[in-house]
This record gives sequence, C-alpha cells and structure tokens, in this order.
Amino acid sequence: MDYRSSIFKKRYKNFILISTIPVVTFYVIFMILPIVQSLYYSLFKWSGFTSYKQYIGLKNYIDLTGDSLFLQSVLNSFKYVIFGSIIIIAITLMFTYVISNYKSKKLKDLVQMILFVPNTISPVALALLWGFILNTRWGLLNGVLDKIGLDFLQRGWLGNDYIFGAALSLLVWIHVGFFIVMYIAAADRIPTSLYESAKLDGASSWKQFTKITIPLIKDVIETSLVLWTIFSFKIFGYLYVFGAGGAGADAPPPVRNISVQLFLTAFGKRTPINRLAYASAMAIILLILVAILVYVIRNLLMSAETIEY
Amino acid sequence: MASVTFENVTKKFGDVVAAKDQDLEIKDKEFLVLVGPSGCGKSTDLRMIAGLEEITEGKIKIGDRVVNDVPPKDRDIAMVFQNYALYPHMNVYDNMAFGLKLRKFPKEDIDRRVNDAAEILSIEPLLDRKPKQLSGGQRQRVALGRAIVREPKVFLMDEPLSNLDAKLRVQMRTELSKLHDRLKTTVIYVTHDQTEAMTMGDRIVVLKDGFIQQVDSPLELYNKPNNMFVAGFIGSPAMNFLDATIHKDGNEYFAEGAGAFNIKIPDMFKEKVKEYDNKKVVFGIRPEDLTDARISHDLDITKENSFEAEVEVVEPMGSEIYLYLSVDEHSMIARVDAESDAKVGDKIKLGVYTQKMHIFDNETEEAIF
Repeated sequence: MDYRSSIFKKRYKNFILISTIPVVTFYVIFMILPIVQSLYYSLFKWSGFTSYKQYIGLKNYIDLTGDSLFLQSVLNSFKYVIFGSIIIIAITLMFTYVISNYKSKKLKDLVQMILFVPNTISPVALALLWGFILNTRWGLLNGVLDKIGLDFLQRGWLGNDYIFGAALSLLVWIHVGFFIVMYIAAADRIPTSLYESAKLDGASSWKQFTKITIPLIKDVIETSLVLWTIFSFKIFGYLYVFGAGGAGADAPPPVRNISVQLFLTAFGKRTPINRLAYASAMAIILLILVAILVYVIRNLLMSAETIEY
Repeated sequence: MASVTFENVTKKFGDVVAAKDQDLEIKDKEFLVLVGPSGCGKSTDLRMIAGLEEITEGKIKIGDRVVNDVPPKDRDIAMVFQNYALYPHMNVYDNMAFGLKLRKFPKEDIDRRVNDAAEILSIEPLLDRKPKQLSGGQRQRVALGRAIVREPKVFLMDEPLSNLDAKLRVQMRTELSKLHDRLKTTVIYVTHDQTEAMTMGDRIVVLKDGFIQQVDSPLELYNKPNNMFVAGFIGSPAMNFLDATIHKDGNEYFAEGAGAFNIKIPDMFKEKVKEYDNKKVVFGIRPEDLTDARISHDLDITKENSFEAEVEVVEPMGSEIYLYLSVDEHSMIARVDAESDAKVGDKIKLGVYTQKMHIFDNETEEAIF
C-alpha cells in the first residue's frame, strides 16, 4: 500500500509539473523575457530600427533624471493616481449609495448597465467622442454653455490649461461604471439584517451607508485603489488618442503619463523619436514605480482583516 | 415597558396573505411567544411591530400610541435577530454602544449601560473582541446585550436560539426566562419550536397561514386546544388522531372507530357530543394519555376505555418507552412506563385516560371538547 501510494504521489507530482509547463512557458516568454530584454536594452544607445547598438551603461537612467518631459509624465501619472482616485472613489461611493437604496432590482441592474457601457466601447471611439464634446469651437459642452446663458464658463478645454482635467474626466467617465459594479456587488454581500438592525438602532440611510456599508466594502474600495493606481500608470489608448485629438498629432505633454511618454519616445512622430533603448529605461522605471506603489498600498493602507458574517 | 395591541391587522405580500385580520393584546411585561410552522407569518408579525414591514390594514399600538407610520427607530423597541446581525467590523463594545451613540447619549451613560449589560450577560471579558472571535453562544449574548442597553419598552426576538446547539439552547432558554424576570419588560418571542414556546411563554399565540389559531397559557393550550392544528402542533410526540363516529347506547355516548375501538365518552363531556350522534368525528389522544394495560396501576381497564393495537416499533427512552402502534391501518404513538415489556409484533391492550381525550369536528376540525 505504501509502495503504491508513494508511486501515486510521484506520478501526481509529475502530472502537476507537466500541467504547469504551458502556463510557465507563456509567462516566461511574454512576461519575464520582455522585462529582462528591456533591462538589457536600457543599457544601450539604440534606435530600435538598426542593428547598431552602443553600450552606454546607466547613461539612459542618468539622462532620465534631467528629462523634463519624462519627469512631467511621472508627475502626471501621480496626479492621475491621486486626483483620479479621490474623484473616482467619491463618485463611485455616491452612486453606490443612491443605487443601493433603489428598491427595484430591475432599476438597480439597468442603472449599473448604463454606467458600465463605456467599458464595452473601443477606447479610440470614446477618446475621440470626448474630444468632440470638449472641442473649444464646435464642442457640445461649450455649445450647451452658450445656449443656457452660461457662456462665461466657456473655456478652451483642450488647451494646455485644462487638458489634464479634460483627460482625467475622460478616464473617470470610462472607469466609474466598472467600479460601481464592483462596489454594488460587494454591498450586496452584506446581510439585510445588519441594515434592519441599524435601522432599529436609529441609523438614517446615510448613517447606514457610512457606518455599515463603507466599512464592510472596505476591502473592495482598497482593491479599486490598487487597480486605479495601475490604470493610471499604464493606461495608454485613451490618453494617446484623446491627446492627439484625432488630428494625428502627438498627445501634448500635460496629458502624458509614463506609458504615453514611453511610446512617443520609442515610436513618436516628433522629436525625440526612435529611442527604443531610452524608452526601455522608462519602462523599467515604470515597472519599479508601480511595484513600489502597489506594495505600499497593499501593505500600509489595506487591512489584513477579513470580514465574516 | 408597554403593551402591544393588534387591531384587525392584515399583511399581504402581493397575493400572499401573511397576517389575516389579527386581534391580539400583549400585556405589559408579558413574555408572549408566537409559534407556528414555517411560513405561518410569525416573523412577519414581529417585523410589523418593529416597523420593518408596513401594515396593509389595521392598527398596531405600542402602549397607547398607534405606530403604523412611526419609523422603527422611534418605536422604542429592540430586536434580536435569528442570525444575531452583529456588525462584523465593530468589537462587542461598539456593537452594543452603536444605537446609543447614534442617539447621542453621553459617553459615561453609554459606558455604564454597556458595562451593566455585559455584567448581566457575563460577557465583560469579550468587550474588545470582534464577532468572528466569538462562539455562537457568545454572539447570542452580545445580540441580547445590544438590545438590553437600549432599555426599550418592548423586546422582539426572532428565533434567537435556533442557531445554537441543543445543549446551549436549553441553557439559554432558562437564562432568557431569568433575564425577563429581571428586566421586567414586554418580550415578544418568535419560534417554530413548541418546546421553547411551552417552557418560556407566559402566553402562546399559535399561528397558521397568517391566522391566529389560539392565544392561551402553555397549559391551557396543551390541555384545551381549540382545534386539531393546535392539538397536533403543541406536544411532542404529537397527539394521535383517529377517525371515529359518535353513537349513543342507552344513556351513554361512545366514540367508535372502524370496529377497532369503542371508547366511552366521560359524563363530563356528554352534553357536548349530543348533537354529534351518528356523526363522524376525530378522536384525539395524547401519547402519554395511553397506557399499556398490563402494567396500568391507576386505571381500571374495561372494554370501554381500552383497545387493542399492534406494536410496530419500540423506542426505549430510559424513563419511558415510545411505542409506535397500528390500529386498523392507522398509526399512533403511546408513551408508556418503562416497565412495559411490549415487543415488536405484540398485540397489546392500550388503556385510555378518557378524561384526557379530545373529540374534534370532522369538517371544521374545531374541538368539541
């Protein structure tokens, strides 16, 4: 029996090892290898389009510390994280409060679906649409402001002064539905009896939300913060297309996060162009920053405590 | 402390009637138990008192105040939920203090009340713990504590013991009764467990399909059930029911069942069965009101108070024996003295304590006596 069970264990172990080979191969080829490759290229001076490569050590990294466009993109990424998370969590909580107070499940589902729709549409289409809405001369927003007599509020939304806010509002609009669905699903886990008990304890619907719902969906709020942080750094399509405004130009510096700056450095239409090795150094910095931020959020902000009902 | 009054209360969920035209007066400081099978509307009644369900028709009063449109928080009631409904993110102290904080009680007052309640319930060492660190019994106490600190006029308890194991349930039953004596507050208690109802209630309300079947003290319910439902629901094992016909023989009345039994109706009930002569009725007898004729010490066995039955199963319980019997294709249970040596397959004679028998109308199922 012992002999047979040890044979079985060995076979089982082999089976597990063999089963994981496709996943591990995939992970190594498409995740680990590119990181190692980027790290390797970042030590060279290389356009990416010729075979000529010159080893320059850490010069790319040193140059990055004085690259104002790159530094601005880092700052922008942090601005997307900070302002974005405050705005998006506030809006999501507001919607969660309103929607979770709906008595009709159908209405609840319908509103969530409508808010989720932007997530299902192509980023290019949405970014262009947002650009059209905010266009200074013929955009919908300025048009409506004019019609309702608030023309003094009209702005050049896509000009350097406002374009960061315009881009952030686009990102919030797209993602808020996704987070609302997450929050509502989490809120639905909370047993009704807790609310009934709170009602008898004298809690208004707002107090029930702040004292029961929010603390009990805290884990999901924290997860949404991690997700938003990662989005803010790596989001590319929306910002690239929105910044270009459909005119085929490069996104202006005020909207660029590290991902956009990285792409423009490697493949952009204007200077500095075709600096693949230099862009690789940016990619490594991006990786390190995201890793540090996620670590900080997970270990310092998130509570390890699990909720049991 | 207050009374609670139902005046023609009806509650409908769409087409489903959960409470039908209920009239009920729950006295101040009374321990009233609502009991009935699942879906009988007992929890709905409790939730209507709490204000968690609206009333379709009628009035509910707490004290002299009609509370139909009073929000739950202003009804001065506290409720203990079946699943305890403790706030999982708060420790025991905060769970108990939550309602008081919301009502802006001074901190010292909150402290005093929470500590007093914790002392009553012996949960002082648990005040810093979160609900998930507590056992079922401890959670139960915290849920009670949360109700006690509010010092409400009425306590509502929705099957509070049903999540506890059997031993703890028995223990908590006694503790709840003691607590009621100590707090002297009106308690309305919902359960589906008739033993809980019998042991705890000053009075019991038996419900079925939203209708109140009977409101009485435990013993009255047991001894004088209004109808077959109450008779069958209260008591364990349940009352035996056998189809019978009333017939008159000389001056005496008999309940006769398919040739298998012919029991003489005691003189005290004669008047009540007069109009049922030659009519079908249901003969009811509790298992403990039957005895194994061979060992009966206090009953003179005659043809008129006994019948034969075949033993199908014998369940020795230690102090007594449950005999599962068949009488002319009907099954019945007798709870006889442990002395009985009845065996499976035996045909034994069962004695009937006829003063304890019941006769029900065959159609309305109402008790004739």
